[in-house]
Amino acid sequence: VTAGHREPPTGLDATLVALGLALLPHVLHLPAWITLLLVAASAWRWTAAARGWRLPGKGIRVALTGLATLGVFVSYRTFNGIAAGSAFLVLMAGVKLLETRSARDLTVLIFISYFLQFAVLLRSQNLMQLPLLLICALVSTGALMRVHKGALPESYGTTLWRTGAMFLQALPLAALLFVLFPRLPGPFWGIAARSRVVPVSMTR
Amino acid sequence: MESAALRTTAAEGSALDLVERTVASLEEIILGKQTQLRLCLACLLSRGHLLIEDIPGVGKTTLAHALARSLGLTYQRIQFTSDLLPADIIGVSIFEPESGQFRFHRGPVFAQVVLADEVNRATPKAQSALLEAMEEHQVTTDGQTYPMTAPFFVIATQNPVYQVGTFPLPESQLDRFLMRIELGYPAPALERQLLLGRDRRDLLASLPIALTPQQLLRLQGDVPRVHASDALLDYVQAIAAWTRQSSEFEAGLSPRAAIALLRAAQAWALMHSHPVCCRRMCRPCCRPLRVTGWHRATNRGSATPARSAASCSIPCRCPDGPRRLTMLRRVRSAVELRIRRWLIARQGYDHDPVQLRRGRIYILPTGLGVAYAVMLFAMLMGGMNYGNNLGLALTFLLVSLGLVAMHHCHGTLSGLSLRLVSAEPGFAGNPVEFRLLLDNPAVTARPGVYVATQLRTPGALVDVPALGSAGTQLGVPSERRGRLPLSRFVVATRHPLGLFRAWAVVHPDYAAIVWPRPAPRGLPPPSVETDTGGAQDRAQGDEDFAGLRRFQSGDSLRRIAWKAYARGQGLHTKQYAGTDVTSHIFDWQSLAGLDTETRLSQLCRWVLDAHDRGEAFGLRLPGQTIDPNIGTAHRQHCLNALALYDAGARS
Repeated sequence: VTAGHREPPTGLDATLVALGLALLPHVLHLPAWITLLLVAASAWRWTAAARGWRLPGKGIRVALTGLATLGVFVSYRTFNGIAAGSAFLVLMAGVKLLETRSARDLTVLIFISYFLQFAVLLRSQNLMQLPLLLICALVSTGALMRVHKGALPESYGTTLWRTGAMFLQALPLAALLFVLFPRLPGPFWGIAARSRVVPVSMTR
Repeated sequence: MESAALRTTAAEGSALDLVERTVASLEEIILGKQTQLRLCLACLLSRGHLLIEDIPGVGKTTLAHALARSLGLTYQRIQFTSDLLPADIIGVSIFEPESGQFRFHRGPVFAQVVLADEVNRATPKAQSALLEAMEEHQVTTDGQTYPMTAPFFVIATQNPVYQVGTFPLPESQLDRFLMRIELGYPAPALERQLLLGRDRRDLLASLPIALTPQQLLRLQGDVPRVHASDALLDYVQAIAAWTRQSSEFEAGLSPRAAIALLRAAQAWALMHSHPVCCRRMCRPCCRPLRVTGWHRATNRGSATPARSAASCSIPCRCPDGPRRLTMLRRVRSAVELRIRRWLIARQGYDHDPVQLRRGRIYILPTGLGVAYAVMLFAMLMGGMNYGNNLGLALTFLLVSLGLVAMHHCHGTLSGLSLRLVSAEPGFAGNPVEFRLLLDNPAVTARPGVYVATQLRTPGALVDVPALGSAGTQLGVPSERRGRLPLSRFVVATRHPLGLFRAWAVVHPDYAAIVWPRPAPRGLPPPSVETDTGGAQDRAQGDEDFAGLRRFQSGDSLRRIAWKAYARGQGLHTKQYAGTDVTSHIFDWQSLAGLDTETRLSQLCRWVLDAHDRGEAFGLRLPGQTIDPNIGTAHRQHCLNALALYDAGARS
């Protein structure tokens, strides 16, 4: 009904890449159908942008959201916890992809990809993930920059260069915050007990 | 009705800006008297005259002089003395021996701003000459009537303390003044500034024109069109009724006084950009209104009656009516007004080129920026709850990234400078375009900058390269012909991540010309005796033989080439070349009986059509004649003359 064909918002490609990178560490932990669904949705959105297809109407999106929710519940029997939560997040990203009309929609997807990166860390604190994590955050931020670039042309190299510079400027402050921020002992609300892991010792 | 209301609403933005600009300019001369300056302007906008009552040396004369200068009006000062004669004010007829006739020499009252200093020192005869000119806006002498040039504004001063040997203005004539104000002593800090600063009269010489006479006339025309709410009318009537009944007054307010009160309130509303004139607009005007009835009570009672009238609780239960503003809109417009005033007071008006210094760039998170902060807060809570150090590290990285983005966003604008390339004219009703050039003196590029009339309206993004410049344009909707000032716009950016928006507000002195809206096609220009022949026309005319053409039905039988027909060449028509009427002078006078704007629209249509046909044309307006010519520059010249034709000053 409202799903008219329009020019795809700028930065769609970069957003899809960022989302894919954020999904990568989750693949082994997610049921295959969820991964496939997000990949299918991404591929469809990509083709739709290239071919000028119409985006699906509201009815289809609501139905898909309902089915996805049901699917998560059937797979996990709960919405609580990191596993079910991240599965749900991935599915919502897939559905959201079907209504990416504006820069704001893409920004929501990039925020989801940030959150997926955070979810990886909640699952395990293996330091080996750090490089992938940094690359992922860099790409997501680059995608965010491209989304807000408007119609202005900019090469991927320039975006990467600018994002990299911002990262280098942000790192010292991040390190300072990391060191100075007070740590509170123990979880301060109950649900989190089962995912307690050995902290990576940097401050203690 | 609705469209009229909308038009008024749209015009207010500029009214507010114009008034603010004028007040700011006057304030450089008259320190710390904002209220009086605003009242003075309100008085001027409602076509009234002003009486300043104060002791000598507080700046009465300077105020009048500064006002005349910043409005670009002609100015005359008349010092009233006991031996002043009416002829010294209005002028005198002098016999000229060469022509054998009397010729009228205009007196000082024919200026647009007239300062009548110490009006109570002159005899009633001289006073009434001035008061009559104020009321009638014309002077009649020897059976001849001489109109004043609009706008006409009289500022009279009188000294309330030393009344010995004076002739106080008669009560019946006091209501010729719309307002009476007092200037009072300056505050100590400002007086210190006065003592240390340059001489006010030197400053006067460099005072720029803040409001042109044409803009002033337009604002004066807008004042009666400001919608007066029912509640306001009730209020004015209640005040009038109260003064008539109260024992404090000998005689109540006359209906003329009530009209004056209403006009002043409307002017106040226009000046403050309120689309509807309500009770609140009336109150500030009540106090200085010097109209019949008010001052009689002053002679009698101790309290200032106007103040008690304004502050007394007059029962007024009627709501403002259907066009009442919602509470939210009222608060919003009040806040916006405050912010605008604060901005202007803080950074002043800008002159081309405008340099965006650090201090005038404002920055706030966008909606997405707030969402980003909420997301980070959730991450922080999650990280702390699970005691997850890597999670916290990611969160802090993103927090720092947001702060760095904020810094970059601010830096994108800081140091940028912009200047006007051209103001493209347009027809009334269509947007006019201001072309701007953004200059980047820094070695880093500034991507994603846009200009817009409002912060919220999106504008096309441009990248300003390092040590280079980029052009952009700003479309401003136009409503009526004339000079359209661009008094305010924003330069903004959401670079780099869209989480913050930095902006700078610019109050420039740019203006574009808006041509009259062309009349619909139809009425052909009447042939004027000045239409002249011009180029050779091969098809029409009857002078030189130019050749043969195949016969078409309708051709004159006399022109059939019978000899050619006889030779068996078929039926042909002889063609003659000749001169045709190809040059027109479009005359204002040929459209008698129509109002100014309709005439201008029609002339505009003729000019456009003639230009499209490639014909030469000229234009004759009262006081201005443009000789026939062709070409785009000539077309523009003629259209500009139509756009800037000033009916008020000539009629």
